[in-house]
Amino acid sequence: MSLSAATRSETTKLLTTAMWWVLAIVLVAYIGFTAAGLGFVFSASAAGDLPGQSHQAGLPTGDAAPVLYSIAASIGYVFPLLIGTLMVTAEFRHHTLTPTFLATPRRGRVLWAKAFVGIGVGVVYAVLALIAAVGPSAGFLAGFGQDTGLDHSDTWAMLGRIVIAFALWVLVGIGVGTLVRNQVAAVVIVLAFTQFVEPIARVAGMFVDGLDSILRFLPAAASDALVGTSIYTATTRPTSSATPLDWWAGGVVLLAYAIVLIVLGHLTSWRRDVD
Amino acid sequence: MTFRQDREDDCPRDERFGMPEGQVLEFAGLSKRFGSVIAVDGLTARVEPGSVTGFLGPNGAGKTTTLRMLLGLVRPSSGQATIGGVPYAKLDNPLQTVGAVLEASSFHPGRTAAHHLKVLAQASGLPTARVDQALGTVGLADVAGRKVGGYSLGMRQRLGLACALLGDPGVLVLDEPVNGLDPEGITWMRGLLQELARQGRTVLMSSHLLSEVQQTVDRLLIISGGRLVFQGGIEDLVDPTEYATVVDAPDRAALTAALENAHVPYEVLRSGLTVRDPDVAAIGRVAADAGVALSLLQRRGPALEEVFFELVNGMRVHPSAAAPQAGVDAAAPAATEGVDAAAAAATTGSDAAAEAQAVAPPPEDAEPPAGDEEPASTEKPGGDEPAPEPAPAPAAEPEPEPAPAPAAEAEPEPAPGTASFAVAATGVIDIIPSAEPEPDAESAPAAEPEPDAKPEPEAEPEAESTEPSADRNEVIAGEPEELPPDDWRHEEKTQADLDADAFFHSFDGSETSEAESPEAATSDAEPAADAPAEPATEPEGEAQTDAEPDAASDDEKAADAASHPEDDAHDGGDRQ
Repeated sequence: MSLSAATRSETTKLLTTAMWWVLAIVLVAYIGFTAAGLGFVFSASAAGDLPGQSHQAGLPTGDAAPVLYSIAASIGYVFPLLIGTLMVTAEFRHHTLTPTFLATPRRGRVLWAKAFVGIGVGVVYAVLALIAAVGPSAGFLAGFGQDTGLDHSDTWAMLGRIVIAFALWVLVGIGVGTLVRNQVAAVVIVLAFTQFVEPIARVAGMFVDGLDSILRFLPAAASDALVGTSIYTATTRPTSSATPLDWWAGGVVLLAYAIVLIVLGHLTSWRRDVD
Repeated sequence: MTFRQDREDDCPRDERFGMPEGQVLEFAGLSKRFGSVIAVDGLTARVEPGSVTGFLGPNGAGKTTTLRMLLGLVRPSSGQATIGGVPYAKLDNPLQTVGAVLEASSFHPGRTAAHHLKVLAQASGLPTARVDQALGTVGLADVAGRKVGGYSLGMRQRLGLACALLGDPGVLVLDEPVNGLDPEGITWMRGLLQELARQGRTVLMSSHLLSEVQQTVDRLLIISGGRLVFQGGIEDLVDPTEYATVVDAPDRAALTAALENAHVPYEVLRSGLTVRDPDVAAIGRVAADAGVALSLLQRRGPALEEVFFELVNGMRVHPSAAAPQAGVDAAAPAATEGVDAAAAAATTGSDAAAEAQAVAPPPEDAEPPAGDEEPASTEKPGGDEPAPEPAPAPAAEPEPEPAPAPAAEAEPEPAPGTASFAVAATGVIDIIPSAEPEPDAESAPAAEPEPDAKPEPEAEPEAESTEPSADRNEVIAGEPEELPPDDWRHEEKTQADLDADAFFHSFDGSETSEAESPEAATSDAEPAADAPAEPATEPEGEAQTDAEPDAASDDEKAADAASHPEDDAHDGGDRQ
């Protein structure tokens, strides 16, 4: 059947289990809570309302809004990555690839359909994440009399780039899921890499000269580059000479991750015998 | 559960969009290798529309792999499987062309049945209205909104069928579809599949139990070890010459006279007279013409389950499967030998018998061999009663045993692996009235009247080939009154059976191969097998049924052979 039929089917498939909304709830709660907390601290700090405040840790007040808003991506990117992974590994886990491939024997088409649906759900997650991040942050900023930045086109451009980043992250997740197959292993890999490996590497990059130039090509770093702002880069001023990638370059790097993973997965795993 | 038979009424057939066309399924040199294991080996077969085709084979025979290759889920190592000449992956509308029921577990437990079908419907461009129809067809409409995780195996099986029927396909491929279904569900499934086939669709269902599909399928595809061993109608499974008519009358003398007058060759068993002619009506006419009232008139043949088992184990080769015949020939003799071994005759016996047979078409000659073959040489010599009696008891016994034993035993043994066969095996034994057969089989030499009686008759017939009937009748008089129908299968084991089993299990070590082809080898009309033993002439049914009778019947056969040498020759020719 046609690609549109396969895409419709994949959409139904995604929306008829609890996975997507459970992840969405966690996403909103996690990002909302973080944004609220940091929003309060940043706003209060910028307004000089925090007790015992000694301005040295103060953030450039002008940057507070974008940094807070970008929490959606810099912290929340694991969610689109997870949903993308689960979209594929769930099929392996529950043996639903059998009916899937019976209905759509052209397997590449199934993968394309998943990619399209993944982009869609990435956008939806991005919107949810942005609401969760921008809402509390802007509220606190406004409450403390700070600039919310919502009247700047730059801010909206960044929000748009966050949407793109989410979509790309879902694609990366699909690639990981296709390649790894085992759901538990895939989730563990995703969490370990995003929560431990890469953050630690990026911290290490702050102390090792030259490492930055390599680390900026890590997926999360590329994602931050695409978004243009990040709680990581904002709080940990890189001392090295390496400059972050341009936003478009970051996007390209992230897209390259997605494509390479998906293609590899397709070649090595997706075409295998289904049992 | 809320399954109801009446659900059948809303079958998809009512809602067909266009008449679905049954397609020919074709396997051409299909092979699949998993590492060093060859799961499917050069399978070439055809499945025609308009009938239910059973795809049989023991566990691990490659059924599922074959079906998965047909459905494009597994890539063949070589060869190809096509649907109407097209590989599955190239089908324009796969779900509307082929409906498949594979494993019952391929559902996301958190998704409802209706949603699962909706996913498939959308992928195939089917209207979502089909979802409700399909669920109604399989009786799941009431639970359509429940998550599949809460479904029983039977419900999942039905849901799988709903998936298959979703596109109202012309081809249905089902892998063990009745697993997990309750008896009611099985009956329902059978009716549904037959109806679908009747509509001209192609229905291919796999199973490892012949008995499971016997009542459903019209045609069979049997594989073993990845190779095709049989292909054809279920009626082709057994050679017509393996069938015989069992006839009996209260006035047996009159009946035998009538048969003799009509020049109908017959053999005498305790259970009646056996005529090696499947034409029941003709026999009935003979009796009617002679004014003999019959008490029994029945067509008998080997149980399909046994034939299936033999095919699967290579004891029997069917021409529909292009396989070397050599294997069978070798196997069959071995089986007979096993019997002999039991009687202490050792392998040579059968060889001798075989030779004798070959050499001696004439009745008299033929007999001796028969004698040698089973009783062990001792009995023969003393063709007269006196001799037979002393020795006969022992000698006679062995005979009965061998035949029945192998039959009874053989099956149980192989059975360990597969329960199904055990059932058949027990059935075999069971038929024999416990009192008689067992004693004989076991070895009660003289104690029992029958055994004693037998030895003599047997001896006599052999010695005096010409005057069989009278004596035999007496001997045989004690036989079971009722003969099981052709398809009888499930019977209980009696204590005697168990004893017999135990006895013969002691020979297991040496018998394994033979054990498997019990009846076929020992007494059956099997193609390859009979070379050695005349059994060919004898309908398998008897052999299976009567423990002693077999032994006796062999003698009778000899006698029979004597009177109708041409039969033997004929058989020999055919079978070889």
